Amino acid sequence: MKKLLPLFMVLLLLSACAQGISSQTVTPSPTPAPTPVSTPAAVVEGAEPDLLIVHDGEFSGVYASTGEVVYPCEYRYLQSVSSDRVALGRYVPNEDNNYVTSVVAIGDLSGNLLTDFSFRYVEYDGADCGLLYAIYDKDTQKAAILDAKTCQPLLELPSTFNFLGASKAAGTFLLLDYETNTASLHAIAKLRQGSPEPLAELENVAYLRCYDAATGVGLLMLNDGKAAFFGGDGSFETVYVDRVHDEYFGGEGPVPFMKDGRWGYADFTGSAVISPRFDFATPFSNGLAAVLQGGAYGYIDQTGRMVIEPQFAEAGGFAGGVALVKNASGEGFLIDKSGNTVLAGVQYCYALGAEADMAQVEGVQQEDGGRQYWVAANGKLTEVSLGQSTYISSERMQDGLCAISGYDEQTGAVLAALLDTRTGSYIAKPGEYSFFTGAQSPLNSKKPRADCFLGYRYARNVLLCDLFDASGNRILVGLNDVYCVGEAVAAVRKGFSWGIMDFRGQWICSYSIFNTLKRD
Amino acid sequence: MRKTALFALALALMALAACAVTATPAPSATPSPAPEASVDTPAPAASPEASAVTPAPTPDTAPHFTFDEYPAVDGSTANLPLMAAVLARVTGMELADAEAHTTCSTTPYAYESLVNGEADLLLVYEAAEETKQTIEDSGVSLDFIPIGRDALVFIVNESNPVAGLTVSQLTDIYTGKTTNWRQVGGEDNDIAAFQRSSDSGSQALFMKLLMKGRTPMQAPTEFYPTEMGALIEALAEYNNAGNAIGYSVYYYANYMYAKPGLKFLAVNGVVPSDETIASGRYPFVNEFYAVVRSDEPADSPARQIANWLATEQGKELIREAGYVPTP
Repeated sequence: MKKLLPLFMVLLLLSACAQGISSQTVTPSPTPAPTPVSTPAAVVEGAEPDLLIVHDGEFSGVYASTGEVVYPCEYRYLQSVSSDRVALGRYVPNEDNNYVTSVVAIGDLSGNLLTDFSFRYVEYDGADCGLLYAIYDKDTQKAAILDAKTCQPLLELPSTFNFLGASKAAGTFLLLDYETNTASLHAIAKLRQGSPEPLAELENVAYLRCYDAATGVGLLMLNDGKAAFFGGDGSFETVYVDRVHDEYFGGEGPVPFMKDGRWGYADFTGSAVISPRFDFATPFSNGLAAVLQGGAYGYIDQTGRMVIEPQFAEAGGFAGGVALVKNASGEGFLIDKSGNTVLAGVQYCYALGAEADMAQVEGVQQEDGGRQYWVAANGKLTEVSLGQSTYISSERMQDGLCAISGYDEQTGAVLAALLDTRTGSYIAKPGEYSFFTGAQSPLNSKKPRADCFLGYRYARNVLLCDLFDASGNRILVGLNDVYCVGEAVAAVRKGFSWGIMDFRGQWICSYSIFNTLKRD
Repeated sequence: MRKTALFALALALMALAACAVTATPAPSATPSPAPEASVDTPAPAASPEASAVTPAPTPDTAPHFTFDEYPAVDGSTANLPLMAAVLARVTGMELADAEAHTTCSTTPYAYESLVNGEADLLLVYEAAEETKQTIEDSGVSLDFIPIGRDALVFIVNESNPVAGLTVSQLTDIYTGKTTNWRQVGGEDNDIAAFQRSSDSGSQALFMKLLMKGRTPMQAPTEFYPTEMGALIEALAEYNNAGNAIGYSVYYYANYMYAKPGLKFLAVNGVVPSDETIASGRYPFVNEFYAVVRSDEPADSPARQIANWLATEQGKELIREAGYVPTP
């Protein structure tokens, strides 16, 4: 009598038709994918399936949320490089015979490899202009602007050239040659017609501070310390300024700049939208910017109106609805956007997240070395603490949700908690998790998926992962890892299986991890 | 410490907690010998199956602990499914959840973990000689409880027309005396004989069951994959795959890392299977063990689980997990 095997053994046996490594090819890999173990669960009729990056324990691939294999798990590196192109990498030996990751092909979102040559690096044009920038492998030492559709070179360049950005609206892109320190503006249409000559050039360029895809204008830092707005549609006249605020990297609001010793704000046409009239100007955040006037700092709005009168010796940017200011004695305190003091005895205030809708606030250090910590959101403060942690860091996870992490020096434990700043209460209590991270979006998602995130916790020596939704609800718990999250499914590993699991915890498809280990 | 690549996925997720161990003089770390293999005579197979008469339900004798009470368990890669099955049975956890809570550091490092107190119970294959020496040098005495049987199996590409070899033919191949498949009834091709690293569990079986004191030939570095799965991949994907021969343990190669295009060789006319391993007809059978430190108290969770695995209900669990329990 044949002995009965438990479910997992059946799974292992069924997955015996594991995929192997196919040689590099310009056609889709002929290698059959492992047979899905479980019956596909219900998927939304008519909806375009998510294309998820999956991981078999060693290698990455792309599977549709229906379980269909788009790219088998054969790649060490897999990265979206445009809305419909993906760069696929493997380990290749470098000149020292060490194995490094190299992009070996660019593919579409249907599993077709479009190139038969290797790159060291491939970069997205950032604005879906139909261009890719690539650096070829060590043998050619060349870079190129590729046509994203055909993946063939439109313009070959020395690898000293760097791609700065492209603009659909302006129909141009910017390059910078680090060898000659020359930036060049190119018309996309002309390049496609075979005319690689630049529309304009700018010399003495050190680096790009930020690029505005709406206008095609780059803010370029020059070797003499000055800056220039350069680029546009070909008719734009380069605008030079004496200085740009050191901490402006293309964030909220216009650019704080200095001209003839006075500070103001400019848009990306180089026009002063707030005329240079301040002694110093800082970047906008939460709608306000600190400016120095008459020897004291106040705050202006984006019309240039002074909304908090100059009165502070030092002033930081707003984040979470509060800002750290200091008086002439060096005492730090928080103010709200009306200029009212909300907390005294503050030493640091750090913005969290790109939109600075939260902040980590730290009190002055006490004699015992400890200090108080708060998280600010919408001008409201929540005090946080983690065991005996003497240092706490915070990370914005989602609207209103903030991960707090620290190291308990007494127990040696890495502790994390999940705080709902709207209620001031913990969704996950201190120590329940070790850390939180964001989730990878599907390759074909129209916008970055920011509404799911992951909490990692130890069960003895095994690291387990829980998937949270935007509200902080645990969608899936007790996984070993989550690689990519779609609308209703996630690419995960649980136990001895990896595959795609729906949010009810049912496998859409699953494969044994044992058949996929160590294929290098 | 030897630089052996670990079971990568498991290792990446591990953070072993350090803990002191009280070393006691170790008389011996040598497990009990494997049963003598029946070589030529087809022995009547002792069926591992239960009697046809349905027995009355028996009380559950398994020890039961919460996950917090459950001992730190480590072991061999091939025992990972068993480790998960035991965890599920003892804690009442769903098997899928138990798998998610299960990891191992591979045979040599599992013994190291037990000796230094990071693990309290191993489900593990026999250690290689150098690991046994390390255990002996540590002064920590270990108790070995045989709980199951596995076998050293020889694997070739299915395109190889050779279906089986004798023990002496295998010995000649691995001592370098036989170098062409034509010498053993195959085609006129050189033999590419893969081995494993010296501290691996598979290599320990190979040295004990086939080499028996002989020195295997030195092979090119590429013929010594560091992982169990890598050897099987190498056999499947070696440039001249039809020439290659390698070995693994039956459970791993048959259930955990089944690979299309490969086949097991019969040895002395006996194909490795659950039945021929259980009966001992297959020549290269060896035990695997539950191992605890000898000073582990009689009522400790680790000792209770180890002892229970040798009982009838423990054997039934081992069988249900797809392994061949010790008779």
